Parts: sequence; C-alpha cells; structure tokens
Amino acid sequence: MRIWGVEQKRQEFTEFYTSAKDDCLRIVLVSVGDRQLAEDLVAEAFTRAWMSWRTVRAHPVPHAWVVRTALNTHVSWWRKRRHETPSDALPETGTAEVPTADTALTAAIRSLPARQREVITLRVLCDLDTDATARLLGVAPGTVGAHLHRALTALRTQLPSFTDQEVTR
Amino acid sequence: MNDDDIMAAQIMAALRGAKDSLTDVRMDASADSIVARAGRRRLHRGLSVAGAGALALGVGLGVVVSGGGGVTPVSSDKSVHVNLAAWSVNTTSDGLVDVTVRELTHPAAMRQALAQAGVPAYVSFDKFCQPKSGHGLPQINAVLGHSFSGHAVLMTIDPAAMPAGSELVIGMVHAWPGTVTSFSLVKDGPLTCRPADEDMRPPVGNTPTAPAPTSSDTPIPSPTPSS
Repeated sequence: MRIWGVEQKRQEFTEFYTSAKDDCLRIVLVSVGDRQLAEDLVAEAFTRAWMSWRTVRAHPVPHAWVVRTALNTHVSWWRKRRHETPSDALPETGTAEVPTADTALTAAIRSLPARQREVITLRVLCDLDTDATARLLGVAPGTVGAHLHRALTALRTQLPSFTDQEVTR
Repeated sequence: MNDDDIMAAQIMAALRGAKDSLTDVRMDASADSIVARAGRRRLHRGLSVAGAGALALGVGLGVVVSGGGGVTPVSSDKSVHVNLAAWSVNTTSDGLVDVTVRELTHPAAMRQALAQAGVPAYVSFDKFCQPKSGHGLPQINAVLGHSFSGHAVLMTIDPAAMPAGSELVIGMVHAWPGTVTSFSLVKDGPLTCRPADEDMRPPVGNTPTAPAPTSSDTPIPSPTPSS
C-alpha cells in the first residue's frame, strides 16, 4: 500500500510537471531574461515542489507557487553571490543564440524592486487575480494594487515605445 | 478609461505578448530528473545527519525493539524504529530510512524491518547478489547513499525514489580489515549470488568497500529471494 501511495504521488507530480513546466519557464524567462538561468531556477523550484509535494499539491495555484519559488531562489542566489539587494544588481541577460523575451521589456522588469516584479509576474504573466496574488504573497489586496500601479508606472517611464506613442481612444 | 489605464493595459498586453512569443521555449529536464535531484538532496541531508553522529536509539511513533534478542518489528505506516546491538533501522520525519550496521547478524530481521519502513530489500551477510544481467537500475544513486563510521556502515535510503516493483539488494561481508559492501537496485530479474569466502578482500589497498562481485555461481529466483 505504501509503495502504491508513493507511486501515485509521483504520478501526480509528473502530470503537474509535464503540464506546467513550459509555462513556468517562459514566465520566469520573461522576468530574468536569461534562458539558462531561467531553466536552473525552474528546475530548482520544481525540485522543491516535489520535496514538499504534500503542501504544493494542495496549493490553490501550484504553478504560481513554482514561479514564485523560482523568483525567490533567484533573489537568494544573487544575494549570496553579490551580497547586494537583488533589485539593484541582477545578472545580465543571456546569449543571443537562445530564444529570449523582448530585451527592453525584460530589462525594465528586472529593474523593478523585487516585490513589484513579483506582483507583475503573478498578476500579469501568471494571470492571477488580485485576491489570489495577495494570498500567495501574504499581503492585502490593496497592497497588490499599489505595487502593480507603481510597477506599471515605472515600466511606462522606462519603455519609450509606450511613452512616445500617441494614446488613442 | 483614462490615458493611464489605457497605457497600463498596453504594457500588460506587451508583457503577455512577450511570454506568448516564447512558444519555442521548453523545459528540457524530465520529471524523473527532478525527482532524482530531490532524492540526492534528501540523501545528502540524511547522510549529513548520520555523519554528525545521529545514531541514537529512536523514539518514534512505532514500537521500538532494542537489544540483541529476537526481533519482531512492529510499526505504523509512518514510523519504524528497530534498534539492535547489531544494527538499526529508523525512519526519519522527511520520509527517509536511516540504517546503521554494526554487526552482520539477523539479515532476515533487517529485511523485515526495511519492509516495514517501505523499503523492499534483499539482505545477505554471507554472500553477494546482483542482477543476472550484471547491472541494476540506475536509480540506485537516488535511492541509496552510504558511508562508513569506524566499523559501522551507514546507509540512508529514500523509499520514494524506488521505482515501483523494485527491490534494494544489500550485501555485506566481513573482510579484512573491515566490511565489503555491495548494493544494487533490481526489478523483475533473477539474481545471481556468490558466497563470500576467506579470500574476500577489498580490491584496492585496504579500503573497506568493494564493488559487487562479477562472477555468478548460484542463480536464484528474484525479486525476493529468501535469505
């Protein structure tokens, strides 16, 4: 019985991994801008998901748990490496040979403070609503709204393609 | 909707478009590799604890059997703690099984204790067994980590990393100056066993470990040969 339980657990995780891995990788790639780094972060996040599968499988949005864990791991790795705050000194983007998200956009996202980057990633890229984002981050819904507003304002000022264009209704 | 709202919507659309443009980006790693990675990490942590001297007698939810007498392991699904003078089998809170072997006695009881802990195993202290094909499953590295502490053999086993229907084959034999060990993971294949003899020696120098013997003298049925 115990072996059967382990196998069922493993099958569940395999199904989740198969269905979520590519989307998680793309979301993290948009956020960090480096393909290899994104793969490492997502692999690490899924490893932790498997090690805590009992918790993660009960999570309302497990793929968002993986994405957030990947981004937090990024912050943690970078802090260890540079002893600096992550928002001020993130790694450079990856090589041109591998597919990557829009460089200006990812650079602008990476320049955001960590919390704003988290909110943008979860709220926009993971398609979570404000309440789900707030629950995942452990903050009030109003705080999510405030961070999202600040993040979008910052992105707008950093992306000439948006500030230069005429807004039409 | 004011200009700010429209611009925010455009930025959000651009972000989603950036993600959607990455359709060719796929995660290459397999689920098995992720699980194996987790298994190695668990083993590493388990071995660190064992190496630090965490060999104390277990006090768990299961009934503990201690001393050198007869062994009748009684356990729940969650916890097994069997501690004899010869060896110990203890489950940990994170699902691993710590085994410490000090004397090579009571192999059948050890097998029973391991089974209670969720580890199907074949244990022999007088011969080495291995798959007739000559090599076992590659997941052995995720399932088992082992080290030595003096004359004791320390093992940390991750039952969750064992493929369905597989069995851990553990062989240990006294040999000068220590203990020769052999481990493999098998599934659905016959085992061949070689009795230990007086000439059993570590293959290189005086290291207490040796790989599984390659010769096969005694074919026996598997996956659960009697010990």
